[in-house]
Amino acid sequence: MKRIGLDLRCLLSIGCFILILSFMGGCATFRGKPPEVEKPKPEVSKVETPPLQQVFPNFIAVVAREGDTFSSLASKYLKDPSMDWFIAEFNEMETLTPGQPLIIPLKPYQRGGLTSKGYQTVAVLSYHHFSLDRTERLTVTKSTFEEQMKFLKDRGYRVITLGQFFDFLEFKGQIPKKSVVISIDDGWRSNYDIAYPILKKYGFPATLFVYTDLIVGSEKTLTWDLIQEMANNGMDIQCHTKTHRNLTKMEQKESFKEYFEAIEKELLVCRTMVKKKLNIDVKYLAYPYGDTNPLVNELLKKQGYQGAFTIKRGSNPFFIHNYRVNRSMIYGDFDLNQFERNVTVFTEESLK
Amino acid sequence: MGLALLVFVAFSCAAPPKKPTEPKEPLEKAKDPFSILSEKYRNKAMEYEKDGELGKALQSWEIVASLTPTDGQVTKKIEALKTQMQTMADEHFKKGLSHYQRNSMEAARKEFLTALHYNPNHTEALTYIKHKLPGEDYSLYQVKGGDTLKEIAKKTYNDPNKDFLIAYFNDLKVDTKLVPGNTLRLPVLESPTTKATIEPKETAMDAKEISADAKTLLSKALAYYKVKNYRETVSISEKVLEYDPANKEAHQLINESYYQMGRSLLQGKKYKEALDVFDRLDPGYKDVRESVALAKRQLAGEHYLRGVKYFTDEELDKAIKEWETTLTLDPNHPKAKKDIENARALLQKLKEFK
Repeated sequence: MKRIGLDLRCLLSIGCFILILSFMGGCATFRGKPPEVEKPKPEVSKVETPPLQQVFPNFIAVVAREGDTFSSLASKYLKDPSMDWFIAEFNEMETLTPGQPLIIPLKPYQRGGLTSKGYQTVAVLSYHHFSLDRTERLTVTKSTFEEQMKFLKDRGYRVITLGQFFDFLEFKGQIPKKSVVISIDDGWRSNYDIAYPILKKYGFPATLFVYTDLIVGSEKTLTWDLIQEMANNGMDIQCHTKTHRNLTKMEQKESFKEYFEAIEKELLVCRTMVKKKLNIDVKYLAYPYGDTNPLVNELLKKQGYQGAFTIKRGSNPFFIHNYRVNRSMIYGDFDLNQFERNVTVFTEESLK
Repeated sequence: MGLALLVFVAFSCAAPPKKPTEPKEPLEKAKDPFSILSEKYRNKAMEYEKDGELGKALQSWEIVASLTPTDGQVTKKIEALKTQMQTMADEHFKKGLSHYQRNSMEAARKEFLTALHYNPNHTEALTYIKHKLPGEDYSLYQVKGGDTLKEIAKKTYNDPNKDFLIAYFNDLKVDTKLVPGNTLRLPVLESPTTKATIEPKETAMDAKEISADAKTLLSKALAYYKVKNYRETVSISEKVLEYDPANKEAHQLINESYYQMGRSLLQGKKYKEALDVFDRLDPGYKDVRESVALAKRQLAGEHYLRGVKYFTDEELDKAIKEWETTLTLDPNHPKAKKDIENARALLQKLKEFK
C-alpha cells in the first residue's frame, strides 16, 4: 500500500511536470509564436478558404486577400481585368492591401462623369504623319510621339476605344476619369512604321481613319495587308471617306444632285471597301477637313454610321452631338505643356 | 505538492488569456470587416450629403442599408433622399425647359445637366441636352391631302427638284403617292459652298489658335484695303480663310477688294480684265450685274471694231471670228450679225471664183 502510495505520488509528480511543460508550451504559443506544425500548409488553407464576400444586386462587398489586385478582382467579379479602374475609382483607393474590405460595383455609378462640381470631358487626339526626325505642323517625330504616350501612361491617363467613348457619349457606360482617345488620319506608311510599335509598347488602343483611295501601297502609303496586321493587333479601322473630298462643298459646275450623289458615294465606298478588305463593320467617320453640315450628318445616319468627328479643338462632354465630335489635332511643334492642354478631363461648373 | 504546482501553473497560464478577452469585442469586430465597411460608407454618405453630392450619398446609404439591413433609420434616410433628388431634378428640368423656350441655350444646358446630376434616369433632360439643344439635323413634315414630293420639296427647299432628297431619306420612290397623315423626315439644308481652290489640310484648324492668327492677318488685310492695295488685301484675306473658312470679315474684304478692282479696271477701259475680276464676285453684289453688262457691251464694241479693221484688210476669217466674239458678249449687237452674214457670203463667192 505504502509502495503503491509512493508510486502514486511519484506518478502524480511526473504527470504534473509533464503538464507544466505542456502548459508552458501552450502559454508560449498563445503569446505569439505560431505553432510550427501549422507552417507547412498555408497555401493549401488559402486555396480552400472561400473569399469573404457578400453579394447584393448592385454590388459585392469583398475583403481583399493576399495577392489580390484591382485587376484580379475586376477579372473575377466583372469578367474584365481592364475594369480595374472601375473598382479603384469607386472605392477612392489607389492601392489594395490584404484584409481591406471594399465594394465591387456591378453597374455604372457615375454616368457622364457628372458631379456637383462639373462634368467629365474626353479628348480625342488626332495625328496624321510621323517621321524619324522631321517636324512639320502635321508631322510628329517618333521621339515626340513616344514622349507623349509616356506622358499619358505616367500621368495615369487611360486610352479608351471608340466603342467605350460612344458608350460614354450615349450616357450608357462609364469610363475612367482620366480617359483619352487616340486617332490617326489618312493612311500613311509612317502610321505603321513609327506610331504602331509605340502604341503597342504602351498597350494603347487607337483608331485609324483611312481614306481608301490613299491605300495604294506606295512608298509613303499603307497597304491593306499592313492595315490588316494592325487591325489584328488592336488597331481600330474606321472611315475618312473615299477621296478625302470636303463633304460640305460643291465642286464648280456640279449640280446639287450630282453633289449629293458624290458625297453619298464618298461615305458608301469607304465603308464597303473596309468591309471587303478587312471584314470590319465601319461605324464612325472622320470628316475630311473636319467639315460637316446637317445633310452630311443625316446621310451618315442613313448609311448606318453611328458617329463622326470634326477637328474642332476641345475635349468632349457626353452631351456633344454624336456627329460633331471634337478632335484636337496634335501638331509637330507641340511641347508637352501644349500637349497636356489638349487632354483635359473635367469641366468645372456648379451643378447644384 | 504536484497538485498545488498543477493548480498554480494552471492559474498562471490561464490568467494571460483572460486579459486579452477584455478587448475581445473590438477584435471580434475586426473579424467582421463588413461592419467596418458599413461604418465607412455611413461616414462617407454624411460627408457627401454635406458636400451636396447627393447621388454619391445615396449610393453610400444604399451600401449601408445592404450591409446592415436591420437599420430602419437608413431605409428612411434613403427614401427621403430619393424624394429630395427627384424633386430637385424635376425643378431643374422645368427651369431648363423655360430657358430652352426662351432660346437661352447655355442656361438651359446647365439646368438639364443639374437635373441629370440629381436623377441620371431623367430621360427628358437627357433628350433635351443630347438632341434638342445641339439642334436637329432634320425636321418632320406631316403629309397633307394632295401633297406630292415635288410640292413638299418646293415648300421646304424652294426647289421642287430636291424631291429626290425626300424620297431618299424616307425610303420612297420619287413618284410614290403620299398617304396623308404620314410623317416624313426632311434633312435640313445649308447651302453647300462652292469649292474654289484646293484646300490645304490646315484650312480647318482649331478655332482658338486660329482666331489669334486670323485676327492679326485680318488687321493687316484691313490696313492694305485702306491704302487701296486691293491685291494684297485679297491675298491676306484668303490666308485668313485658310485658318477660318467662315470668317465673314475676310469674305467682305475680298468681295469689296474685287469690286473696287473691277470698277477701277472698268474706268480704265480694261474691260476684259474687269470682267475677269467681276467674275469672282456674286452677280448680286452691289451693282456687279450692271457693271458686267456694261463691260461686256464695251468689250463687244472693241471686238466689233477690230472685226471691221480685219474686214477692210480683207482678212475675212479673222473678221468673222471677232464679230462672233462680239455677238457672244452682246447678243443684241446691232451690226455684228449682219456683217458676219456679208463676210461669209463674200468668202463663198471668193471660193467659187477660185
